[in-house]
Amino acid sequence: MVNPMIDTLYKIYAVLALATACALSAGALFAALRERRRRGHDAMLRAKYLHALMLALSGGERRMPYFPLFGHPGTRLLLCETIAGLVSITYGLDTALLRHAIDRYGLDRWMLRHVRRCRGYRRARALALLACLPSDETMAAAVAPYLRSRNRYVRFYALTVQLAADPAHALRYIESYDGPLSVSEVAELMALLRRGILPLAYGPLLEARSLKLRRVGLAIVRQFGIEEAEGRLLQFVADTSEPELGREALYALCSLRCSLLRREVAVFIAGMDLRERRALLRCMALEGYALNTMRRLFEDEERPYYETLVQSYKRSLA
Amino acid sequence: MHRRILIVAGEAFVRDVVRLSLVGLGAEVRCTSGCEGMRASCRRATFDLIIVLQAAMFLCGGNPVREVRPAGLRHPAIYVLSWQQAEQTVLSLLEAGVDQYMTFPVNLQRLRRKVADELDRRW
Amino acid sequence: MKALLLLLLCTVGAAACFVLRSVLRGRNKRRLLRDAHGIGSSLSEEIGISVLCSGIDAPERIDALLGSEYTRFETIVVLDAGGFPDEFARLTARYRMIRVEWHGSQEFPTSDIRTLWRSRRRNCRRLVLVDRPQRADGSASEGSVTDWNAAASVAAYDYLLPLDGRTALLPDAVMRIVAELGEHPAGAVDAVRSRIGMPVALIARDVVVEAGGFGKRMLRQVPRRRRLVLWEPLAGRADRAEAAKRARVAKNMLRTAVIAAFLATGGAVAAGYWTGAAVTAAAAVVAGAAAYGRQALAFDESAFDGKTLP
Repeated sequence: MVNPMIDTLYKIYAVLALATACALSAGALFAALRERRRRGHDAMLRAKYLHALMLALSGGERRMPYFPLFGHPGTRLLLCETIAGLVSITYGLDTALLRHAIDRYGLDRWMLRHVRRCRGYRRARALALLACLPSDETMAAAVAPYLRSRNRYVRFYALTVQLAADPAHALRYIESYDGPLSVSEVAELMALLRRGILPLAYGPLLEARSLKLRRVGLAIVRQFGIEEAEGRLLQFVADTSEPELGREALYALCSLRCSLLRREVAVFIAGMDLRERRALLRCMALEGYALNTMRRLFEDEERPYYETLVQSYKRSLA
Repeated sequence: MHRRILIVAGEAFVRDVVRLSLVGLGAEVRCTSGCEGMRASCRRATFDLIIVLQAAMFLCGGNPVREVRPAGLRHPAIYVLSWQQAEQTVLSLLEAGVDQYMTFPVNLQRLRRKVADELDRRW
Repeated sequence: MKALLLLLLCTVGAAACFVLRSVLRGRNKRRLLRDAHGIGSSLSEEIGISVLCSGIDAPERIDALLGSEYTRFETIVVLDAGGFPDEFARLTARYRMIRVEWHGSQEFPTSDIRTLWRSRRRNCRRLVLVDRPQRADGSASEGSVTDWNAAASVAAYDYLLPLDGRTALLPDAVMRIVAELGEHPAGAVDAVRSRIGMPVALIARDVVVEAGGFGKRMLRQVPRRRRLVLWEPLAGRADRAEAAKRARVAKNMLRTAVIAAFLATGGAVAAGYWTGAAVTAAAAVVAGAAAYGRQALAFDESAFDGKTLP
């Protein structure tokens, strides 16, 4: 009774496995062909698209650049990648011309459909490309469903699309973003800021009630070395309700090379465990803080550790 | 005699963007990738300006500036564009002899103006 | 017995598909993060990595390591000035190293650091040279472990990445690791390892300190939830000619395996021997998945063809 059933299961398995193996082999072949095309045909076409765009941008004309072979399979994505690549490494471009090209060829609508078709990290990448295409406020609403994605990269790049499309409401978008922002995500927001997309000033961010906005403000302070924010950073260090923000503020003070001989800092350091204190000592040694600073902030047992670190940056005269 | 610019970058796309932004400056623009390519290009021709699109080349053991510049001269001028923001990196590059350091994202018009000024100053 | 074999075959097929899916996801994530410029430039303030080098004395390899675009990063090279005086002198001259003070570490039980050297050139400040005598009696792996312990005792950052002479980091490996660490809150990750390519693992300094230095099965001491596994290569063989040769051989073998598995399955089906057909079809799935995975990773390999690997 068992044997015929097992034999049938073996038959089913063999057929299914064979079909899977065929699909995988075809996938491997397709991937090889696509890679070859990417290196040859696509690279050449991308160079032509870039050339056409750059000529149009440098000429200051409103005439639509000609994109050879446009409409063929894969060329829309290629043009989107070219525009996004150009926008992501520059600022102050004539966005009116880019916007005109995007409208004319319906690139933003096509990209939205592409986002819908993709899954996982490919969807996140499509959203990242979309964030670099000049667009208007309607795009912010169109990507709103992706803010609830399970993939955090999809969520985050949907946020960047909203920020790029509707920068006037950047604070609201960041504040309503679901979940905390990771260090990588804050770093990406800094990249957007440097492109001149986000009209964010550090002052209101540091004063905001939202922890996310404060962290972005802190990142701006650190990135641009804004020493005027020292007082606010000390307040963060003193605020015991947000120890993680306090830690970040302390490291920001360190990277700004501000004086650490403050009561707030001493209290915060006293509450740190040995592991965190040693990490801070290593950071202080790298930033060049004097032994005297360390002596007044740390206990005597920790002095040899810091002294060894500091000495290791001094030339041996022996 | 005509003016020559060399662009050094590993990534073709960025190299093309910078190359195309310098079109019409009345200078011959050549491109290469990596330190070896830069050395070889500098052996074959004299450049007025070298634009390097990565900081990494200046952060390892070699001294590329000394290799492409005759001793005692500040010619050719060397501009570096990179994503790095750190103060130490900028200081390292300036100490290594780099004339201008700019970070990405870059304003192409501004870059073009700087390059044009640099070429005019030298000619 | 037959039922057990069928179960095993199902498991093998499912495992091959799972690994392939992980590799493809890893490839897509890498492709996404390659264009994320913020990580390289702004994240530099947050996460620091010390690369500990044992058996690496070629200037080209050290140059390649120092050439990382990531700022909070240092390379610590351990070399025996007594055993390899020429190599040591070459390095100190090339990077203009000066001897600095060293009074021993409180964290690591290494007392055999002879001298410590740092560069006087600002652009080489991420290089630290440790002079440590090598013992002739220990094995190569033991030598590497003691070298890494010596390097860890002078390391300035919170994460340690030990490398030996055979292994070379891929050019964007540091950025990739940093991006992965940056996804999590500070201190939440203790180890990052890759399951593809040459084995390499990043370990939190505190884990190494608590364990009393590097040792065998170091990663097992890290709880699973504090460990990250990447299904993409972070390192390759330092000998690129050897790596290319092995890659060619593997590619040909895979191609042969796929064809042979298909032929064998066809033969078994024709003969009505379904158990054999199931076994060979499972082999075809594994070979097909491996071929697809290899092709997906070729995208990464092409990025560093012809470059000296760090």
